Amino acid sequence: MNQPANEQWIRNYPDLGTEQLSIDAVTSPEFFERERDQVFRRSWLVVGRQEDVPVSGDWFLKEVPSPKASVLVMRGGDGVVRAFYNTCKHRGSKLVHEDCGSGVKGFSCPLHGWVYDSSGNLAYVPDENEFYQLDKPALGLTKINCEVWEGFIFINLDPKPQLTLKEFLGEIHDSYNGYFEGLEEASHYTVTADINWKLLFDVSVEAYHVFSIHPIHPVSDETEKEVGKPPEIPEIKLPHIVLHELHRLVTVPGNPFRPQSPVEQLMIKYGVVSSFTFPEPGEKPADLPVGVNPGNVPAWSFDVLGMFPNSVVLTGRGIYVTIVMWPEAVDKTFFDIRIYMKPVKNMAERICREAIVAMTRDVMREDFDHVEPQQSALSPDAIQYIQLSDQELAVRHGYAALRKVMSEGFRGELVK
Amino acid sequence: MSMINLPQGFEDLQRFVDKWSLATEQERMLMRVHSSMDDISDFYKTLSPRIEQMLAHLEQFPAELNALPVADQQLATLALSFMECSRIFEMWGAQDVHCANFPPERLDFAPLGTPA
Repeated sequence: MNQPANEQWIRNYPDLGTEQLSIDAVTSPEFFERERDQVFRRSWLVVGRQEDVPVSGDWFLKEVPSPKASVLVMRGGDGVVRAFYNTCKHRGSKLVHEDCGSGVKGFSCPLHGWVYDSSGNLAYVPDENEFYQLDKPALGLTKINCEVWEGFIFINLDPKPQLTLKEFLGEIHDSYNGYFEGLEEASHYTVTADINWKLLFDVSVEAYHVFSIHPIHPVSDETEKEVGKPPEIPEIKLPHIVLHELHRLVTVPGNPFRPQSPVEQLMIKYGVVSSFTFPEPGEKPADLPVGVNPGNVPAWSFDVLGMFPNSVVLTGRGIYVTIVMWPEAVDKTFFDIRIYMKPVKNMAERICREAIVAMTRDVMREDFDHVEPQQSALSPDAIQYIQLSDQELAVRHGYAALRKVMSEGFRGELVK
Repeated sequence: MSMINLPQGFEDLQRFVDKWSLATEQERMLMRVHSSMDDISDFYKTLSPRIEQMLAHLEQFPAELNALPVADQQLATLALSFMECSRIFEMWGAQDVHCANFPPERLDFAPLGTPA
């Protein structure tokens, strides 16, 4: 339901409360350990896309920092994507040392040469007769629960997940209808930052910061003569907020009527038109699935889908961006950031795409510019509680969902 | 000067090749951020009236740099650098966003299509 004029979003979600929030969730090592064991060890976590392993025998490693797990993700000879602990069942050696590869039949452990096939089965043991009782069928690589949804590969480190991936995704499971298909990776970078993982998550699901952190600065007179006046960015109010049991989404509007620069006109000519750069005027077009611009807001630019616990997906037209946050310590996080765009047919389109890649990266860097100083200032001596406005309701929901899972698990009141 | 000449019709842009014909997103970003405004301005203003012709020429090639003849690769990477600079120059008249606490060297680029 959309927000009635002059009313606050909290009216749709009165259970969230309006009190100030303790900062221990981003500063306390004890909280971090509970979060690791009760959330990250038990949640479905995005480790990649199925395009990362397009054909049988393709594989990659995901080193999960906390809880520590070296995860081997592989598409088997039968086409199924599976995940395993990267540990040989002979004497526990690390089986695979490279980051990724393709077209393998299986893996041979570098220590004594035990061989596993691409489905993780133990296929060959050198000098097998020297062993006493070797139950080979039981000595396949240890499986990690692994499921694919809309092309995203999820793992769950809990041997017996409390929820299936479908239950975990809840309302968003059926909302995308192939939206993520057919786009390709246009940029991919990683960042290790001295912050709690939630600080970047939080700034991603509100637009209150846009006016201060992503402003358009006045240009010099000379530049203005060359390229014209910079477009004005009005103060951004979120036109739509939807909070699910675990996940959350906010819609970010844009200005479809601002004047286009010469470069933007070239982008249009070559059909490189993401809604990040060109927000859509008018009503939501019928070809977008229900999960994209779910509030049918006009002047839609993109949505920010916050997937519990640690993934943010920005969904626009012709573009989506994934930011996966891997906590290493209470104040240290590894970020995996990827931009996916419509495939380009020739070099001219490829070049036009670069303007969007650079713009998206600059905005991302503006966010990173602020979060490390924020973490360093967040000492319990200086501040015990943070204040959140109605525009930051999705931030509040993130902490509420986290604390609920930490106290009740996934089977508590969370799941209907 | 670079030994490789740009394709015919683009000779006037040859003076930018050494600095701006860069093969990777990371190299182009770092060159932009660490260049003087004079250099960016010269590059942007010279290429701005030529970019449409550059794209019209490059449209005949596939989207993978390695598939292009070397001279056209130089032209394509020049155009990619122009795109890297375009928004920041058009909207900010600057090399970079305000990012003093987070230098561009903090980004680690992964080859496309690979896990991090």
